[in-house]
Amino acid sequence: MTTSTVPFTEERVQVAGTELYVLKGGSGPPVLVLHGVEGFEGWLAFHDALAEQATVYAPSHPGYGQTPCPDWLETIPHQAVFYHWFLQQQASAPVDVVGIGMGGWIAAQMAVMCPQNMRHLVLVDAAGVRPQHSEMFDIFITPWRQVIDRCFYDAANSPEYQRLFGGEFQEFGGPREAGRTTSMRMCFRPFMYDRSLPGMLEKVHVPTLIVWGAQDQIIPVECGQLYQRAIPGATLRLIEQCGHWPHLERPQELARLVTEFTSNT
Amino acid sequence: MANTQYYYFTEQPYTGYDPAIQDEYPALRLTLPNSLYDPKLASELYNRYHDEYQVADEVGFDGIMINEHHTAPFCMQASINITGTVLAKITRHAKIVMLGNPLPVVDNPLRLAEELSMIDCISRGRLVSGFVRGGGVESLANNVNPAHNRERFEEAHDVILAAWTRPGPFRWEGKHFQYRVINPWALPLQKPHPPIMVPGTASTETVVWAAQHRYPYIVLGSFLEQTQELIQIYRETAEAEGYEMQPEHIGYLIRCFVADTHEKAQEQGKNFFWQNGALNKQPREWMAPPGYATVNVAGIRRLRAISRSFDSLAYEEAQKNYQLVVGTPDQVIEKLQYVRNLLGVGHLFLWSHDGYMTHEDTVRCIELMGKEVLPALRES
Repeated sequence: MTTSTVPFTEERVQVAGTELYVLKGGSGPPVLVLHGVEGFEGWLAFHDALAEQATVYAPSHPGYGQTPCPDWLETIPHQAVFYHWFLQQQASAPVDVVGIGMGGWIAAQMAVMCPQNMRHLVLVDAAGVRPQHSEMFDIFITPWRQVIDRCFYDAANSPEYQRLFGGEFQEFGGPREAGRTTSMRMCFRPFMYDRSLPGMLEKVHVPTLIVWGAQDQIIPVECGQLYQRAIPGATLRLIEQCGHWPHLERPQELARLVTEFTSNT
Repeated sequence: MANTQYYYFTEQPYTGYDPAIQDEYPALRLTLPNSLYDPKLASELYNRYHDEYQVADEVGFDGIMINEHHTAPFCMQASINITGTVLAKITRHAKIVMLGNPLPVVDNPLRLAEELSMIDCISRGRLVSGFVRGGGVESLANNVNPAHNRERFEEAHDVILAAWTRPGPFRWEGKHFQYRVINPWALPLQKPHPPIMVPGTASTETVVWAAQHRYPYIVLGSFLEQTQELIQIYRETAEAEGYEMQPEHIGYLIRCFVADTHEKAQEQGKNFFWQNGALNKQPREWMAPPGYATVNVAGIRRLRAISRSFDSLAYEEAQKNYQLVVGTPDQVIEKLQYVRNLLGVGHLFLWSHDGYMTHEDTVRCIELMGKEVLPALRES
């Protein structure tokens, strides 16, 4: 999908001295969509599908190019604090929060910190918990092109893959370098998890949906099960024939799962 | 250039594997299976290389350069301080020139300051303590965040200098390092502290940092033209800092092998290519992970071009452009004079052993250097 059907606007919102860049579109209950290590890739087919029944806020995280990184912000919990400030400032809380990959870790951390700001929590192939019987794939020692290809089950048949990554790929620098650097800064060690997170999630009573690409080759499905075990009452749904990035590979299906969950629970 | 100092260098390569296996792995680094490592062979090689250091000391090299790499078969020194300690006891006159300790990968720089102080005392003041950032892959091998590389380099340096020069006890509350008490009971013999050098290949940030601290900057075998550009950056930085760059502020590492005959030297010199272009082959994510360097696309490309170019050059071309100096003493003296004078360096490091060169050929090379090459260079 290269053209959107739902109009969206670009906004720059001052959050504690940092100008947060956010795309906003659609109407209905507000939903904050947090991207992962892929970085901010603009208005996606997933945002578009979601915006048919919700007001979508799709920001670029601090340190991911379009939003500068304040000097103090160095960890995932820091990102979570930043987004709570944003939600409180928008005066629209509680909102639905959808976090994908590393963004799922931010969302889970937000739920630990201040669940009253959240109406629903949706974790999609989320980082943040350490698998017990498998390993997360080490994206930091793998060429970026290989990482991206590995994030899809069937890249050749994904319009979003073709649109975003199908052409020439800049190996050094470019708009994605800032985000890759920030991911490295925040998630290098321990690699993509906080060993205390499952314990802290025990008291989260936000209705939670966990969605996983059944063929995720980056974060094993086991992590989805661990999230489900940690968060009281959480539901786990798998998307078949889908890799680590359902928002890019199965945007309509993911949007449908999210919308069903947020409107029926 | 009568005051130029001459140093012997070998990377201490581990040669017990076939470099052709590089085709099966991203690089001869990091994930190359260590099942290919034979400790029996390593034991022989370590001791052999140490014997050769003793010869270099005896024949009159001003110093011996050593280094450190991790998960790297081309360099057996996983700890430069262990080699330094050995040299402190088995050599008598040569300076022990560490180029250098990779500071960012060290979690306890105070311990490093203590070890270096011990080496300086045991060697009776022969330590030259170089510090490096280490390539990105060194950070990965030690699981230290590459995005913190420069910050950790600078702060570890500050901790070590403070530990060496500031009377203890005192506290340290830094960004990456914190200490309740810095009060080492091991202090360097040389005052105010052992000389510090900083080697590099292409990073202008590093040249500028070295010049700002008035530390000698050693160019590790980059092309002569690139080396001149780096030296010019040093010169300009020195001027901005209010001093004039001298030969003692700059050095150059050059591959150089000598033998009794031209034919022998030419045959053995091919060993400098023993890795078959492995330097050329390393993913960007290992060489310069995101956040490792200031994002300078042109600079990183250039860095890469250097390693690629050397390996792909024909043997003759490498000699023509002075990447490699090989021959009889008379043949190499003239070339080394040319390079030394062109660059105006006060430190010339001679990388005189590599690959499968035998112990006998290496010792003969070192002897010829000591008897014929170094005296001629010192006179001219």
